[in-house]
Amino acid sequence: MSDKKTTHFGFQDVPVDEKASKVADVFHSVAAKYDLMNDLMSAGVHRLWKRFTIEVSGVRAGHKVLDIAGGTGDLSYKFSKIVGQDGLVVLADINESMLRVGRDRLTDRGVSGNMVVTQADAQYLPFPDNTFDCITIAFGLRNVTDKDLAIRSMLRVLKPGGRLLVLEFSKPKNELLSKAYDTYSFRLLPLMGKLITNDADSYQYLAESIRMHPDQDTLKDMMIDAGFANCEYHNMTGGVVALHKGTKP
Amino acid sequence: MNLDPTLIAAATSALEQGINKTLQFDPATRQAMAKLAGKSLLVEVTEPALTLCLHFSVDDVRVTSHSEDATTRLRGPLFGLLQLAVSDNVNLSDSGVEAWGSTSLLADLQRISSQLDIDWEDAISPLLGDVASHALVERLRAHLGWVSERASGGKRLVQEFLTEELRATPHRLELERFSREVDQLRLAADRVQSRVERIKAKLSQQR
Repeated sequence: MSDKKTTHFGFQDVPVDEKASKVADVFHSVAAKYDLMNDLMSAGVHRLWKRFTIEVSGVRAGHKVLDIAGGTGDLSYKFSKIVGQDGLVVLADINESMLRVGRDRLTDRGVSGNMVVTQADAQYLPFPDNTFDCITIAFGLRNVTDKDLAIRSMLRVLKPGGRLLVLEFSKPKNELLSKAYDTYSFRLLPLMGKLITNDADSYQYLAESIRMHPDQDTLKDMMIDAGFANCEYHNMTGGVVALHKGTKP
Repeated sequence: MNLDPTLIAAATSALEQGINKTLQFDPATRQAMAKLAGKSLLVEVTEPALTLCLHFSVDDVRVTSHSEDATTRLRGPLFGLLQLAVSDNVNLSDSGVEAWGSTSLLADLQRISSQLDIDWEDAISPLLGDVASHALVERLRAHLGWVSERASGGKRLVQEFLTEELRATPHRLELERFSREVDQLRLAADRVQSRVERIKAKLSQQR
């Protein structure tokens, strides 16, 4: 029997050191049509979830913001407008393909001067301590191999008083909604992936990874254990998605 | 009742798009609004419970459902707030509305909204075509002009009677000056307080 440490990749158990490359393969595959699929899968509602995240962030002119797993740059674009030329937005993603799509999209939209794009692993953030006023990670934490390590890394680079916002799929609060959501995730999502990106497996992984992600209270406890204060969460769309907020003491 | 944040975000998004789309057809107002960049107005409606915050920037207006550091905060019932919005006077008395922060932002917003001049012809021409939209807007403009002339004449008479004859309400200019003076006084008081704090700190160090 092998004593190699394992972690989950969707519903499969894989060696810890293989998860990152498997997740990377998924995102290399979906990067080109990521935005289109997000709009189709959520009927555009992901924009409202992100909008609420920006509201709760309390970011204002002059702030430094780190957008981890920023992918195609939805949040970074909005933040760059809010922080202005005196502020800074760092768009970070571990996946080169996603980052390239995001960087090109932001350049096309005329974002420059207050934006830096960097390839970075959320578990080992390459920034000095106490750098950012706000860190967001939207639909990225569930793909990270060691979530506790990533949360502690985010705590380290936040300034005291800075906020961490984790936007992630979660557990619906209503049984009926939960059943409908399961049917949608395991039947329709892979089918849509197959039709639009010719890649059902990646969307099967998406549905499975959502089920394996910690629920609202567990994630809140993980943030408290890491050292965050004033931790709270907002359920959105009946708990399909939750926004967790924590402050660095 | 706690609304799902998704619904709140949908409502603020729709309102924001509406405001910014409308401002596209009034460049002068947009230019005037750009001078308010960096300021924000938080409106807390008590009945029904609703909170909206307008954040002004050089390019557009952002609408959110809450804010922690608004330049000006208004709190009161919907009727009082609407009354304040449509009235020419920046007068909070008897409206049940409370205000915190810089009241000069309110005066600026009232001045800007009174000069609002949306080019509806430009707005509807992509839908109806140039000729039809011109004819429609001209007709509406003529009707509205007559109505607003009558309304403003009556309103001016009532206003003059209340401010000049009865002296029941202050004139807009008087109130604007008073509001500026209150702002200056607040700043001066803040400065004095910080000086006192500094002196106290020095004295405690010397002991």
